[in-house]
Amino acid sequence: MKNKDYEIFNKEFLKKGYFKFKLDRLVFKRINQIFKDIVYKKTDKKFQLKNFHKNYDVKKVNEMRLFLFSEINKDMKFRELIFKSASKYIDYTVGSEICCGDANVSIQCPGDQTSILQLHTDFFSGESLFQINVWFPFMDVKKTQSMFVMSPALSLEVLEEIKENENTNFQKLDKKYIKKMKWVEAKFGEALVFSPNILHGNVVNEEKDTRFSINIRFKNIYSPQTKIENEKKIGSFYKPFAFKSVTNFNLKYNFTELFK
Amino acid sequence: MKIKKYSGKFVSYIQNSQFGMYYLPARYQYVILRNYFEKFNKIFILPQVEPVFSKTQIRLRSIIKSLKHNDNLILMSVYNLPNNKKLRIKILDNLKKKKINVHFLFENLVATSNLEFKNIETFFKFNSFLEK
Repeated sequence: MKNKDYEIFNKEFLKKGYFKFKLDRLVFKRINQIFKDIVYKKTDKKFQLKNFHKNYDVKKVNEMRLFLFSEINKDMKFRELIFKSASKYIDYTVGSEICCGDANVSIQCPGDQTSILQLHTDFFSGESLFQINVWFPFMDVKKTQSMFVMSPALSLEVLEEIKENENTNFQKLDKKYIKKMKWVEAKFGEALVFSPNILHGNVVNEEKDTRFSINIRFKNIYSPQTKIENEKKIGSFYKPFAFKSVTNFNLKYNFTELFK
Repeated sequence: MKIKKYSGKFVSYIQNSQFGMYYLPARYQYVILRNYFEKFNKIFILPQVEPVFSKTQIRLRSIIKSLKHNDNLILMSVYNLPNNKKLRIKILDNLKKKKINVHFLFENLVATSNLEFKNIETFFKFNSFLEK
């Protein structure tokens, strides 16, 4: 079945490894309000999130991160809203029978050296190659306040070095490839759906505003998991999220047991 | 019990695949590490993870490169070190040269002297005798 919108999306996703889009406006409005309220619950005062560093002790940023993580993942509601706000692009990339990871929170305060996530891909930690990551900030972001990505082709080249080259290290790679890292510019209400197989990361935020952002992984429930013996599997890492009737049917009746 | 004081910074490292006879999900490694950092009154920063497909432990080597004299490297176990002897010796020599204190949590050991680093190599030797 041909769908022009999908074809445009697919062409860009294959070329760049990501696609930028607008989240559903009304759903994102709710997400934003819920998120802000959780932040204010911890700070006991209201302010623009981009001014977080002026209203909170940055040394305790990890405490805030853990608090937000625990609040937004205490049930599936927040994740359901994220899904609803980006459902078309999640369907374009991984289909309609899906599982998802926890929603992660990044807080990048200006000058904070403790929140750096160096050049990486999500399969560094043994996650599936067949997942996508939905990422969105709660304010306009650009340059070092945002995150960087590398093209799929360049990522593969660098990953070969990471795998085999005994004479290199991440400091050398950062230096060698810094000019080829592309900073993601995103406005409030915009999101990125990207393959976390491409190299990405952040550096110290040298801009004047804080970045709060969410990232969450979605994977087709039937696509390959990692071959590494670890916990990045359905149940411990990915939570079953949405299925179709045949899956529901086989969850209800044990036909699959006959083949054991 | 009196806790020994370490003046340098604490940096940790984890692997998300089996190390030696162990495997522990990252989130539980964080819990153990956070607890250890708190014991020494150090601010816990999430560790950078070793790429599961790296044959040269590039993350560990990069972390060691960033450390300074008297800093502390916190590992779960001596078995976070490479199995490959040549690579392991190179890494241990570098740690000794830079005078890094290496904390191995499972073995309850802090390697600071040549003798302690030599003992680590002995662990690997004994295990190699027992390998099938």
